[in-house]
Amino acid sequence: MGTRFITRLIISGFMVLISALFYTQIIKGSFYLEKARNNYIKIVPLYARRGSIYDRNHVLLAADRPTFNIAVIPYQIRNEKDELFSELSLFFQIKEETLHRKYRKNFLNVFSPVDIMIDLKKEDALKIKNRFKDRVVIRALPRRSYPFAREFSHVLGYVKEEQMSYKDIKEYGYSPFERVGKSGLEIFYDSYLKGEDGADLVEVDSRGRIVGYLGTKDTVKGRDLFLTLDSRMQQAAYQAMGDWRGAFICLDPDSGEVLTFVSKPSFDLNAFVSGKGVGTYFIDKNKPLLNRGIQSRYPPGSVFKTLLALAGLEEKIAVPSTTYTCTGGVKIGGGVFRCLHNHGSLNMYQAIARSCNVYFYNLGLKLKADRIAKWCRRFHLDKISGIDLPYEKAGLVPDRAWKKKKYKAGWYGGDTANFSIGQGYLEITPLRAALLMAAYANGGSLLHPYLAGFVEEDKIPHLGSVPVNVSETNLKVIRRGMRQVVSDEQGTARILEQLHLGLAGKTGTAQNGRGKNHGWFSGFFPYDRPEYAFCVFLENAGSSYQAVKVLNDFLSILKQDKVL
Amino acid sequence: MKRSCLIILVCVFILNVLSLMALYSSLHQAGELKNIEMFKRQIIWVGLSWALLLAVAFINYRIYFDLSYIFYAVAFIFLLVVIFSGREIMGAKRWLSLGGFQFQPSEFAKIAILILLARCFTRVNEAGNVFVQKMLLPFALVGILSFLIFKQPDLGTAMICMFLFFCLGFSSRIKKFYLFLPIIAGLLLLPLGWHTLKDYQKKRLMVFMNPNIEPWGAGYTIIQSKIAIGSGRYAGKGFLSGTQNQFNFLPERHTDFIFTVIAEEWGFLGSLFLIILYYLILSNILAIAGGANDEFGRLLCIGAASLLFLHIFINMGMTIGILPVVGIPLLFMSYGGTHIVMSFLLLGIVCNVSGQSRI
Repeated sequence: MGTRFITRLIISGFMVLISALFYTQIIKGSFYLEKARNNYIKIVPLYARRGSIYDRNHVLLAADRPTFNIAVIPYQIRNEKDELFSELSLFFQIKEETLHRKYRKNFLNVFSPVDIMIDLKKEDALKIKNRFKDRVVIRALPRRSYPFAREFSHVLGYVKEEQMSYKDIKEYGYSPFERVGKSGLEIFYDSYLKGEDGADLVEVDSRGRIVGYLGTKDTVKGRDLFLTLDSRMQQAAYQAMGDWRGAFICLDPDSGEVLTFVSKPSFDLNAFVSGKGVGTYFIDKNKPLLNRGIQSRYPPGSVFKTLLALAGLEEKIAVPSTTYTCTGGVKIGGGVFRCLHNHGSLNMYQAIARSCNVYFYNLGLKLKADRIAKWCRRFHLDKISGIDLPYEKAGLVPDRAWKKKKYKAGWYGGDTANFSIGQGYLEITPLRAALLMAAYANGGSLLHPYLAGFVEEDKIPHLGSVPVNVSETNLKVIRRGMRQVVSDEQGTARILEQLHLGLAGKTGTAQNGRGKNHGWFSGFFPYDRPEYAFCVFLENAGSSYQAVKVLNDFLSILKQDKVL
Repeated sequence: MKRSCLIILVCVFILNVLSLMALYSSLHQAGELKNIEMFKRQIIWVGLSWALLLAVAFINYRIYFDLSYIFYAVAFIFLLVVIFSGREIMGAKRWLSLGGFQFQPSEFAKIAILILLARCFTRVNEAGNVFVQKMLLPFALVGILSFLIFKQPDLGTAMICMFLFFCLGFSSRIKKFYLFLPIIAGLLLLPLGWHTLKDYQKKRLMVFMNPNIEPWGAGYTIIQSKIAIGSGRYAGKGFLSGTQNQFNFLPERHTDFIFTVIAEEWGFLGSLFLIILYYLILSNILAIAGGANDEFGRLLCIGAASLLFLHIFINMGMTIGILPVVGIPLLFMSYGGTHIVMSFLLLGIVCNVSGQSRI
C-alpha cells in the first residue's frame, strides 16, 4: 500500500486527457479550425439589383425597390427576447405573437440576424432603430415589385424570396436569401435578370459586431429585359376578357413578336413576392395559376375547319368550287352527325364563312383520318412552339395508330367526322391556334414566337420561322374564306365588320367533357396585308359568339385609344 | 526529498508565468487589454500565495493532526453561514465576505476534509470497531460537509470531496472491502440523487450528453470551447491570436475555461507541456509522500496530490467535453484568489512534510 493507487489514477487520468486532446486537436483539428473560422469570418451578402422588365414602348413592368426589415441577433438578445418583443409590439402596434412566429420561422443560427418585421417604410425602420438602438438591426433588401399586378401575371411570372436551404450556409451564414424566378419570363430569363450577388467578408465578434474587413466582392447588376408586348394592347385584352376564363394572344405574323398574351383568371404578382395570402390561388378550382395560353389544350372546334379545307385543296380532293349540300345532318356509320343549320348547297368559301359541319364531314371522309393527321403535323399542331415561357404543352393529334395504342380500338368513320370539325380527340393550345392563323397570313411560315426582344442593347437571338410546303393559291382561298366569316351577310362573325379593320377569322364552338362549350375566335387582320394574328379562347363560354364579342371590345378599346 | 520540493516549486513558478500570460490574453479583446485591473489583482494574489506557501512550509505538519477537528468545525460553521447569508452570484451562494475580501468557504472545507481524513485513516492500530472508526465516521463527516457544499449549490466541489475520501481510503491500510460498501450504496441511491439536483444542474448533465439541446447557455460554452481547443491543432494560433478568445466567443475564459485559451493559442504541444508540468508536480508530491516520516504525513501528501489531480482532471475534462460542466477552476491557472491560496497552502504543507523527512 502507499502511493501506488493514486499514482496509477493520476497516470491514467492524464492519459485520458492527452488522448482526448490528441483526438480534438490533431485528428479533428482541421474540422474545428473550419468551425472557428466560420464563427468569426462572416459573409455579409450584398444583393444585386435584378434587371427591370419593360414592354416594347419602355413602359415599366417589373423592377426592384428597396425595402427595410427589422432583425435581431439571437445571441445578443438571448436573455431579453420576450421583453424586447413585448416592447416592440407596444411601440409599433404589432402582435407579439407575430414577432415570435417570424423569429421562429427565420431563425438560422445564434449569430445571424433574424428578420422579425418585414418590408417597413424607411421612416418606420429608422424610428424603431432609434428607439431600440443596438438591440435591433436594420436590413435593407431589394424586393421585386410589379406596377401591373394582374395584367401580365402569367407572362412575367414572379420572383420568390427564399432563405437558402444549403445546410452549412444556414448554420454559419448571415441569413442569406436568394431570389429566384418562379415562373414566366422571370424564370426563363433568370440568368440575364438576376445579376451577381456580391459579399463583404468580415470579421465579427460574438455579438455580431464587425471588427475587421477582409474583402469585398462587388455586385453585378442584372440586365434589363425589353419585351415585345405592348402594354396598351395587353391592358385592353385584359379588360375585354372580363370575367371569362381563357386566353388572349395576339402576335405579329411576320416576326413572331408576341404583342398580347393574357390568361384569365389572373393572380396578384406582388402577393406572390411576399408570399402573403396566396394560399387560396392554389386551391381555387378556376386554376388562376394555369397559363391557359400554353399550358392547357382544348379541342379547336370549327377553327380547325380552315386547316381541313387547306388539306383538301393541297391533296387535290377539292377545289374552291367543290360543292356539298347540307340538309342539317349526315348519316355516318350507325349515327347521324348534325349541323347547326340547314345550309343547303355550299362552296368552300361559304362553308368556311357559315361554318357548315356537313361540308367538312364530307371533305374529311374523303381525306381520311391519317391524311388529316399528316396536315396537322405539317402545321406542328402536335409540337410546342418554343415560345420563351416555361412549361409549354404540346397539342394532341390523333390518328389510327394512336387510337389503337391508347384505346385498343379501331378508328371509325364517326371519328373522322369529329376530327374534321375539330372535335373528338384533337386538342391544341390557344397559342398554337394563333400561330396557325399567322401561317395563313404570312404565306405558310410557322413562326417561332417570342416575348423578349432585347436584353438592354442586345437583340436576343431567336429561332427563325419554318416554312410549310403549301401553295400560296390555296392559302389565298383559306384567307378569303376567313374574310367572308366577317364580311359575308351570313358570316359567323358578322358583327366585327362595323370596325372596318379588314378582319379575317374563324369562329369555333367546341364541345368538351367539362361543362359548357368553349368559345374560339381566331384570325388575322388587316386582310390585305396582315399585321396581327390573334386567338381569343374562352373556356366554357357557351359559344363562339362570346369570343367574337371579346375581340370586338378589345379592338374598340384600341381604336378609342388610337393605338390602331 | 528536498530535490522533489524544488522541482515542485519551479514547476509552479512556470505555471504562474503561463497563467499570467493566458490571463493577459484572455482579458484582451480585438487587440486591446480590456481589464488591466484583474491582471494586476491576480499578480498580487500570486505574490501573496507564495508568501503563504513559505510561511506554511515552516509550520510542523503534525499540529494539523491535533487541529483536524477544529478545522472541521470551522469549515462546518463557514458553510452554514454561507448558506444562510452568503453572497449570491449567478444563482449560487458560494462566497463569504470577510473583512472586506471575498472567499469561498468550500475551498477551506476541502483542506479541512483532507486533514481530517488523513487523521482518521492514520490511526489504524488502535482499539475499537475499525469499521465504525475508519469507515462510517470519516464517511459521515465528509458526507455532511459535501452535502452543505452541494446545497450552495456546488456539485463539482461536493463531488471532489467525496472522491477525495476514496482516494485516501484506497491509499490507506483499511480493508478495501469496506470502501466498496459506500460505492455500492451510492450507486443504488443515484436515481434518487437525480431528483435533488437543481434544474440547471440537470440541464448541464443533459447538455453534456448532447450540447446541441441548448445552443447557447451550457451547450454553447461546450461547443465553443471544443471549437477553440480543436482549432489550436499542433502548435496553436499563437499568443494573443486565438480567434475564439480574441473575438469573445468563449465565455468564462479567464476563470474556469482558461485551459481553452491555452489550448487554442499554444495547441497540442502547449497543452501537453501544461500536463507534463502538472504531472511533475503531482509525481514529486507522491515521491515526498513515499519518503514521509509517518503515516499522517504520507496521507497528507497523497491527499494533496489527489485533490490537485481531481481539480485538474475535472477542469480539463470539461473544457474538452469529456466531462460535464461544473464550476471547477484550473489550479494555478484560472483567475481567482481562493483556489490559488488553497493550492499553495497544500503545497506549503507538502514542503513541510518534505523538509521533515529523514531521507
